[in-house]
Amino acid sequence: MIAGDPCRGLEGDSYAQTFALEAREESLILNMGPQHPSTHGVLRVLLEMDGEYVLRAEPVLGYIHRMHEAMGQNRAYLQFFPNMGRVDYLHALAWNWAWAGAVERLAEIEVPERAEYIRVITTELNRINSHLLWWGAYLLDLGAVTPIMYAFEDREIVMDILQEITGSRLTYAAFRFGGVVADISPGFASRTREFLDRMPGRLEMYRDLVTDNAILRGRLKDVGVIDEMMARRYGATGPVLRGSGIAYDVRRAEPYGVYNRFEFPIPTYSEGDSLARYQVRMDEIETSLAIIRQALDGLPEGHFMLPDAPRGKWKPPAGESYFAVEGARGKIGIYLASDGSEIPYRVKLRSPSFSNLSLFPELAEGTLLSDAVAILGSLDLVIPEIDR
Amino acid sequence: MPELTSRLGLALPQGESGRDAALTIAPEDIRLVAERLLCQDWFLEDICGLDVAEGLAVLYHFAHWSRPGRVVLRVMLPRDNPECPSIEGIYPGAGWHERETRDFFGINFTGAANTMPLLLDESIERPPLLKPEQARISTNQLWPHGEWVGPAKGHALAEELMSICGTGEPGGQTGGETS
Repeated sequence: MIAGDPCRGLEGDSYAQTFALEAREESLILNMGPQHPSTHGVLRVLLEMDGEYVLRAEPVLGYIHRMHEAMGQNRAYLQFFPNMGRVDYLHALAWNWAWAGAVERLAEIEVPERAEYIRVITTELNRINSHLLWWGAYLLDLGAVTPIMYAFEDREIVMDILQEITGSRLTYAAFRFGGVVADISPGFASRTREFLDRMPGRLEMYRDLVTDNAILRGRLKDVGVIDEMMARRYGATGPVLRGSGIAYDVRRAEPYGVYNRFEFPIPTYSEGDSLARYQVRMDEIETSLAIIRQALDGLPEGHFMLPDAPRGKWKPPAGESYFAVEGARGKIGIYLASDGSEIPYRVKLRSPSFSNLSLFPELAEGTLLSDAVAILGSLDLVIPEIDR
Repeated sequence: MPELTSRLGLALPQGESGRDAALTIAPEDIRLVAERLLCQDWFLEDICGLDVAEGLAVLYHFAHWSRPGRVVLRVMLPRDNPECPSIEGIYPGAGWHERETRDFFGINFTGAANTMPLLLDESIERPPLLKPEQARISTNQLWPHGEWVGPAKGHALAEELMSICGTGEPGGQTGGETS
């Protein structure tokens, strides 16, 4: 390098340098993120560009890595619940459920029926909120500023409802081994029903306003097509997989809790493009509404918490368990190994966004940069969940 | 022939244990088995490192879109030179899982295209999830004998996977860990 070279320092860190080694002549290496609005927080993507076209893409992770798995191994079982709300802040209750389920399966703790219903109702409300935020933020990525205002209006209602029985608005830690932290309050059920009645009209408006918009469809149709084989090779799950026509949903495939008591469709679209993934999520809001209604109608009397549930520093038996749930982004799995002490021996968190994002390099190849942004958003990434 | 173990109660109702079959295989067989699993449409859920008294274990969790259950492959590696063939060429999604396992446990996945750290800084000295010696427990405690039986006779998939193991180089015949 020549002294006074204007390009000095622009060659980047070791990731960029390694990435540039394979670059073609006359291509441009573009660093997108970690502070870029469409990378949703702290994702960084290295891109090799030929004009407006992406030749190669490589996500660089770890900017919000907090080593949750190590944290799981230095605290009591119960103390790990707050971490779950921070792994995926948008669908915290699904992670709550995965952790509760892994420990309950290991220690053979039974969950009272009423608690299972409360879990379903709260987790599905949380799923709706996650999809609504995705919807607003995705459209923001694509240049539409208004929809997120509408989405937040609905989100506020759900947050108010959930706050009443969980005590928090976003990073919920509301489940316990053998139940949930609080029973449904009298106001909760009626407000939830009001929300259930409100949403279909809102969704119709969203359809008129956004989903049927020709510009939106033009930007999403045939963009980022994931076929079945690609989804399998990368372990894609959730709406990303269902947008490729595979009706795989953990709530059905590996039923947990009381999900097998409810009737609900698994929305799928076979196109595999960004629009298909968009439509799956919009349909899933309706699915969740239907599940919540059934759960409220069938809510049994009884305990919301197992009377002799483990509390405080408690020791489960030695052994291992694996528990999977369907999160808003796909299959959440927790592998737990216990040595019989008060502290978990090994906690492995399988996050759906991690696998869903791993197919991005293959998917982005040859697309326009603006389409790459549309693809990233259509994967519904939550970076803290990927980095854990 | 590597020791293969499988859960006795393969026909148990779903949801009892979170898995259907757990097979301990030698590292040199992992690619063969992964290939066979891909042919049968299994997908990789995750790859999980585990530090135990016997060495370093790598657990591969596989699930299926239309078949219930979970297949767990366990590979035991020596602590002084933990090396395992990469299955990235078969399941490209495994690449990131392997890089993460390398970050956390220092396990070297041979044949992987990218060996840059995924989540941690390059300058970290000791992989953070390795346990101090006194804290390690034996696999006997983790996977109790009572729960497992010898060769997975009678389970079609387990038998099939077992039959392709140890057919490669002669080193594959030496057998794996007995859990």
